[in-house]
Amino acid sequence: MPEDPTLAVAAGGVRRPEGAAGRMVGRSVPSDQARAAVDGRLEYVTDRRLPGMLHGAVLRAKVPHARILRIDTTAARAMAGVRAVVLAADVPFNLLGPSEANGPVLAATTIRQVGDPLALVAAVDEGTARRAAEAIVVELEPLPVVADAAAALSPDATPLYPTGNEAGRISFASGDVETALEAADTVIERDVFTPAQEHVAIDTPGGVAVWESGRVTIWCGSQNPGLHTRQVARAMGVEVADVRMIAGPVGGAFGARNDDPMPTLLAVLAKAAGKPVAMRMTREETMISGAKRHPFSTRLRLGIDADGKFIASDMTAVADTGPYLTSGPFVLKTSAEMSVGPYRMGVARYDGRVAHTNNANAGAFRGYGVPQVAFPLETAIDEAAERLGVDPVELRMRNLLRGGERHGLYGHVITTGLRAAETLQAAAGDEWWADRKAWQAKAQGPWRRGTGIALAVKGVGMGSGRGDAARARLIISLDGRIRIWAGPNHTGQAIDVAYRQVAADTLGLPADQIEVVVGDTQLVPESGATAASRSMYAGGAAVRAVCRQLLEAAGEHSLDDLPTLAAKLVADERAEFEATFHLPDVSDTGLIDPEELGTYAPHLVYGASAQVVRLEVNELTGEIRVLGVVCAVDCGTAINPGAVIGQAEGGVAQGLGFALMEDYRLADGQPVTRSLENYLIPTIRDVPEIRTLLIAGDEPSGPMGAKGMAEVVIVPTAAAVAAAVADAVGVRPDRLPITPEMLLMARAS
Amino acid sequence: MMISPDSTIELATVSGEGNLLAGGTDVLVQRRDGRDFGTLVDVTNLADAPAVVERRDGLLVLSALAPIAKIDRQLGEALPGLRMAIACFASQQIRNRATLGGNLANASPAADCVPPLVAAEAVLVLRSAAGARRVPVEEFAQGPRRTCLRAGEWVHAVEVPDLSDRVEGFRKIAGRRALAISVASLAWSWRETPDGLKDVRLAAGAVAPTVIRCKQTEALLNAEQPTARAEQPTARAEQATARAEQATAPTARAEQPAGRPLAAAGVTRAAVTAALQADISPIDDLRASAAYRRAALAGVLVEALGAHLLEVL
Amino acid sequence: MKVNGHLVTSPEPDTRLLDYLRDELGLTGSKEGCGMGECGSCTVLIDGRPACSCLVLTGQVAAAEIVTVEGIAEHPLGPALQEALIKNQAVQCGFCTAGIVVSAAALLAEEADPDEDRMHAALEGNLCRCTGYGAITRALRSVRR
Repeated sequence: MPEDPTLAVAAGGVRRPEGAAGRMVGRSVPSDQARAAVDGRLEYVTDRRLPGMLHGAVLRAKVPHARILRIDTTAARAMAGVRAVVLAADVPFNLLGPSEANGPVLAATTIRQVGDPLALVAAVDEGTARRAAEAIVVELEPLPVVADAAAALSPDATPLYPTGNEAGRISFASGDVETALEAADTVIERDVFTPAQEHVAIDTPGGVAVWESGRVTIWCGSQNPGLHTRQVARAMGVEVADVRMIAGPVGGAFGARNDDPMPTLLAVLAKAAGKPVAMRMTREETMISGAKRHPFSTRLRLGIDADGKFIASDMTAVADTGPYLTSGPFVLKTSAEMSVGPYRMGVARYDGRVAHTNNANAGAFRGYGVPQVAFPLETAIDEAAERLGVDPVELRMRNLLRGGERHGLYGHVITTGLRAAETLQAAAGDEWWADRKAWQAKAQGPWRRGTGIALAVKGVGMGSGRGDAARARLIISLDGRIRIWAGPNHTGQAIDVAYRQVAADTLGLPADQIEVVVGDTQLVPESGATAASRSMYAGGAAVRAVCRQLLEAAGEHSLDDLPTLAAKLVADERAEFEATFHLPDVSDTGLIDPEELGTYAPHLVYGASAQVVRLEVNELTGEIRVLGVVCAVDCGTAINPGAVIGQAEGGVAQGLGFALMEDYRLADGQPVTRSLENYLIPTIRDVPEIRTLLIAGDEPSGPMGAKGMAEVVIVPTAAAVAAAVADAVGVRPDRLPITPEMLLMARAS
Repeated sequence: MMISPDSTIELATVSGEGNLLAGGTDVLVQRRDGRDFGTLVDVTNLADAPAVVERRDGLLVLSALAPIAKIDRQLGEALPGLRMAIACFASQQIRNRATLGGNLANASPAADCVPPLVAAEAVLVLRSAAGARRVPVEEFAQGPRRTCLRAGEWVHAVEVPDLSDRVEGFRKIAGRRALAISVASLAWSWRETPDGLKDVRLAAGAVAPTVIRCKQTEALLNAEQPTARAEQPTARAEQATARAEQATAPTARAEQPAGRPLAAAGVTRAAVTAALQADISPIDDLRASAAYRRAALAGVLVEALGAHLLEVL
Repeated sequence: MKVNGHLVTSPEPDTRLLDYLRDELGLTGSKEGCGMGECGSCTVLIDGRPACSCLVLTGQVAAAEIVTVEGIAEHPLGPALQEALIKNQAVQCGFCTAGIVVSAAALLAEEADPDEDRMHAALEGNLCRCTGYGAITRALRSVRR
């Protein structure tokens, strides 16, 4: 059981649970880095300066698709202050992954998107490096641009690779969907588009690399430092053990640092220059070449019977992954699994494809394929509720999965820890939902009022059949200090603090006796990515496990006298511990052939979020003002409630951006939203009061009942906004972002 | 290269030698994008710069060389339209550096400070080695990024008639609620009299190659309404009630039953919308379509006119 | 110019203030997030007023007093503001924090009890991608009281 199941949050603030003295779990503990951050003393990887350091720059492609005929670096090399120029031929193994479609480190023969790196330059200062990069002459032969994902999949499309443009497909049916749809009393059809979204971590990719004695140390943000060491080792032809990533401090990630090639570019350039090299992308470089959220075109047919039961769901999706394979096929797995949301479904079918195009490369982004399918599903449910004259909460409650039941598409048995129903009811219990009709009636002038609700779940971890695991190492030193090197890295969520809270309570020690280090591959055992809502759940479980090893080793010896215990363990050579937490696979795989578990990667554990959005739409201009959001979160035990609320509010803000303004656009492969002047994210004026409700729960497989939550909070927001817009002005948006233009034009027609 | 003259006279002698730099909030963005400005001549360090805001001869004289936030603080209750525009101009950090002169000389059709100045019939004082000349703000911009500034000339001050009897306003439509370039903007300035709106002036941004006066719409709103004074409403609420009764079939003024309280300007939403469409010539761009700009600007105008229109919103 | 109270010799006039602070003075607390005044991470006080140091040339502020995040602790409400940001967990990745600290310190120096609109006006030029601004707002409210 969680130690404190009574967490609750008042509007706009945190009500802290009354923990027993010394108990850390359930307390809101600030990030260890906060003090240095507010003083301006926190040295980010992009602030790091080393003696004798050179500065790097990247020459990037300006066209989306071309054959490279010749690259002439003569002028660049001749410039004063230039120390190294690197081309594809200089990279020992010029690929970012095992296959050609993972993309080259530097483009050798073909440019496949605007922003592809063609050459690296190291020089005495950044300005010289950038000027030298621009002095490199590139001769190209243009190739036809594949700019549309659906067209890319047609047989006559220009293939980006010899195997064609299909980068992945998941097709699964739990039964005869067509027959079920024919029998349905009501069928809601949705045909929607959700755009590419840019992460806009405020810190752009960059860092420092230095080679010493054949080994490289790279200071560069990463959500998956272990993966990055392997990527660098492959490209450079060195042992993984000879690559050290120190992956922080870093200014935000949100998925962008999963697939970021920056660590490899740094290592390549520093090797060629024979000196430490610092490099940092400009915002524009990040915008044009960094990975985006996958744009999805999705069709859904939802069949409902006379009792309001969901009897059939049929979804087809085409995702645009751009030219390179990073997360695309994996994004499709979560999109398939979540295509039925947290609902029982008579029968369901999903057919999704990922296409290669010459558009922006798409990769991981908070939510990982789920916002794209939750938007059509949840807006279809809202439309169904209106058509059937049923309350949208009631309609969902009739169909909602409870813990321990079978998943709506794959039929696997899910955790008993799911609290989706309680989460939905908590959101609906807020006065902003309960009083919505009276509030709507008080609308004034051209500002029409509306309130919407939506619900979503998102799997925790990489999914079954993937061998997902996290590790932790613990050393007790003679002075009685306990040090833990633990799993998924901190990229802004203060996960290290939460690990320490778990360790303190597991050991029954004050938190200040424990030090936690994350993000350094020389010290931290391989623990996988800060992704998939797994850090707290998996990293926390590994920390708990390693602490339990210490308790076991201590036996009858008390931890009250750590130096004595330490002396004994050191003498016995038992002062170092390492534990692995294997994320549990589903035990009942339902309709999935157990041999194919990894193909579909269904989850045992899900976090849930239900959100209420109240807003106003100006019927004269189409402008939208969001006035409040209720965000109920099923996160199991909240280890650090303040941090959980911070994740919820940040996720909702990004969800509002996705719903209302964020739209990464290209025209025939050329990015048009290249800067923060025309790619807009929410300012403080665009984010209203958010009421976060933490739902008491207990995930049996999680550390002290905790599970991941930082992705699911972005998922239902856009659908709740769309429902509120429909409530306000009767328009049901079929694409994101929902703009004033879309609303005004829809009302005019 | 950058030079920082410290007096108007010195500025006049060097202003032709390079590009002028005021607050820098636009020039430095363009420079970063690769535009070569050659020598930059900083205009913000003049010991004899004009007073930030000065009242003189029935005019409010605003420094074109001072940060707009400073102007805002010193305006007090004056020029509410300009103050509303400043409030939604970029961000505080930009307002603390950007100048009226820069916003004008930049000649963006979407410049936020310009519509209220056009609606206020401001006159710009342009300075150079040749002396000073005055140009109505409406004639200053000649197209996107093109002005009537001659070589070596700069915008020194802005003269605005100091009138307290006018109602002014500004509203912009943009991609988010702060720090965003206007999709369409409207500044209005009129007098509210017992006889209805008088001296209506409207200036619109981002709907033509420059900020423009909406002359046809103004003409419609300024036209004498023959029956408008049949009976004056005693309160806005009464008007609204009366017009609510008519709202099912809004009709032209001439067909209104005599003696009914009527809207002050007495024109229909359809009529002002039609007039406005003839005034503006927006284009499609990244931020919005021409069609939306047309519809949204009409919406802003209708909202601004509010109870002065025949229909109740 | 003076930076955090120290007189410094005027550098090349056409250097961006942000580069001068970071590269010459080693004051790396001010961050570059966009280079065009859109994100506010490089905000510093110039004669008490917040501005984006990426859009100012040193020659324009040769006689000015500059305060960076590193100097905010000397600002009247600086320490209380910094404590409040920590305590309210308004720092996640912390990269925008320097700009937030500077903008908020200027606001609180001018207005002891700013209303919502004033807070928004003061912070609308500081993008934060982590927090959704809630914790930042709560921190400011706790200081003003």
